[in-house]
Amino acid sequence: MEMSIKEEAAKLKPLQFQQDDTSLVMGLRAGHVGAGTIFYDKYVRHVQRVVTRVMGVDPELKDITNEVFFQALKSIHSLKEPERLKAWMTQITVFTSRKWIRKRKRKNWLRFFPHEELPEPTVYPDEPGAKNAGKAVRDIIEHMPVEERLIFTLRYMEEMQLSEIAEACGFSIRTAKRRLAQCEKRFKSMAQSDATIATYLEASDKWRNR
Amino acid sequence: MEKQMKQYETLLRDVARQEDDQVAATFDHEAARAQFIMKLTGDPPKRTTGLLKFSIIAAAAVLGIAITATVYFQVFTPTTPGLEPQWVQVGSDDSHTLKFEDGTRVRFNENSTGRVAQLAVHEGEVTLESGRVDLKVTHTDQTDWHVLAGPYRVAVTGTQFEVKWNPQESQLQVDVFEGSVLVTGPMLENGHAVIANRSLTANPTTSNVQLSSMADARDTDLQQSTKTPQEAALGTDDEKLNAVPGESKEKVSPATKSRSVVISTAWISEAKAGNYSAVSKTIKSHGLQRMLSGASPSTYLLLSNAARQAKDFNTAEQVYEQLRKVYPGSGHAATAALYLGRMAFDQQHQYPAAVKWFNIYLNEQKSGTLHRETLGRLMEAQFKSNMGEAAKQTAKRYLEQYPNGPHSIRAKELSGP
Repeated sequence: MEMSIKEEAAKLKPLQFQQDDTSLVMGLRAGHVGAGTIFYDKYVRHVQRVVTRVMGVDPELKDITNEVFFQALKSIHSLKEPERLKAWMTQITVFTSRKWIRKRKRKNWLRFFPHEELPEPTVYPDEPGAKNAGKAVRDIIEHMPVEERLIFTLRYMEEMQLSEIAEACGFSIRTAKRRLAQCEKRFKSMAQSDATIATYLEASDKWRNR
Repeated sequence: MEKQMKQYETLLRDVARQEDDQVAATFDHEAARAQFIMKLTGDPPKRTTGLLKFSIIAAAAVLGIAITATVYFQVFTPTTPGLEPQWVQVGSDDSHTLKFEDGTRVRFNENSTGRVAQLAVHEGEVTLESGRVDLKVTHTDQTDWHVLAGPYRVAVTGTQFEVKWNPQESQLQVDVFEGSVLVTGPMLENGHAVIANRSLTANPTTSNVQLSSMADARDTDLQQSTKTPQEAALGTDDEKLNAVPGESKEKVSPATKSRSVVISTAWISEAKAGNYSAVSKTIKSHGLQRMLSGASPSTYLLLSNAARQAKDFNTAEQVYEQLRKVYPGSGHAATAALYLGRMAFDQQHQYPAAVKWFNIYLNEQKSGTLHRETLGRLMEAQFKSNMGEAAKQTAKRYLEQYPNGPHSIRAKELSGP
């Protein structure tokens, strides 16, 4: 059986939905599996960054990340402004992270596991002192109420603007500002009494002023 | 009080940077991507295990899964090919060939459907929904083509190969005629390199992975003359497989294959658990090249970072440099450059070498949190290498891009009035 060969010599243009988020959302709504993978590739680093800011280096990062994407794909039809896909993804990531934090807290309470007995996922490399200081910072953050933890990490670790944080967390800017002030106070108070953090800051201050 | 809060802000940014580094070094992106695609393309999530113990919870869970599945299939049932102009659907007596300016050729064979997108001059993505596609990819340093077939990803830098995907039977077959490809997906989470005249079949439903000589092995002289950097760095599959006594040169049985995987998994688990000395011992007992056999770039980084943590700097350096040769131009290669720079700076105190690697990283990665930190590190390394003018210029560049960055105080000092 002889096959007929069609040749297309022209250079292909990229698929339209690889160019902008509006077209990508259209592809996702149409159910293109290829659009799903492009969507994943485009936003996976952003999602992981936000999850890591809020939760630290988490042993379940893979599952949390994939849940964010499936939540997004399930509700893609409700996205009103496709051109603001990134901000919407940030919001879903924050909401999903909050759900995981709460789920763990409930689970730990039911199991009577003290926080310290949970698996220790984080290993801080290289710099002497950084490991312990990083761990101390995470300990303080993990003892914050969930909402404060979200605001604090997004502001000071992800360096987001207050308006972006308010949108991502579903608060008014006024509420976000008030809660940020509360968690700043809480963090300062706990960090001041932490010897590991004090030692690290002293050492890095010396280094920076050399 | 103000100064104290500034210090805390710097510390928090430092912690964020450390955590980014750790995720970059340890997170297996290929495995996560494969898991996502597996679910996306129809494998139902396995979340019901254990729920039968609790009848009330089970009822609720079943209801929840039913609702989820309804939404899931509404969203993800593939639509008819042809809706987009880039879709390709080929009839029973036909084939369809796409040629690109750099000489790369993609041919969909009879009864095949899928899509092709050229992402850049030497980058492209083929999504094979069903049937058979063969590619001849022109090799350059920037070449990055890949084929997505169900939950599998076949990555290529320059080669000729064919991919078959049967979605009904979840059967993948990859035949490589020239060069080599890297296949990732279920049971191949860490990636497996397939070289010329080898065929890999994988089926996630039957948990079967098989690597064999191609029945119709073609011109063997040709493959000798077209070795890719992967082959040069890794050796051939024959060499790798012969390292395990008793393995067949011609065909790898599933049992033998799984033995090889067990060895890989053991050290990967140790590395992820932070047991670096155990990884170091495994390197000594198994040999570096064998551990890196068919490894994905994430696996390279995991091994090199484990060696670095175990203070085996020579091995770490070797693996980082090999990663850069095997996967040139990739994000992982850039990360390897960053770690080479950090190792030269922090552990070996070889500041000119650190300058070199930080510059390479910054040329390859133009943005991101690590970009900011690396620029700061470059400035310090230049200062310590007595490269005063270069340090001054880098300091100015740093302040332009990151006026409030953690190295901004130092940058102001170095940039002068």
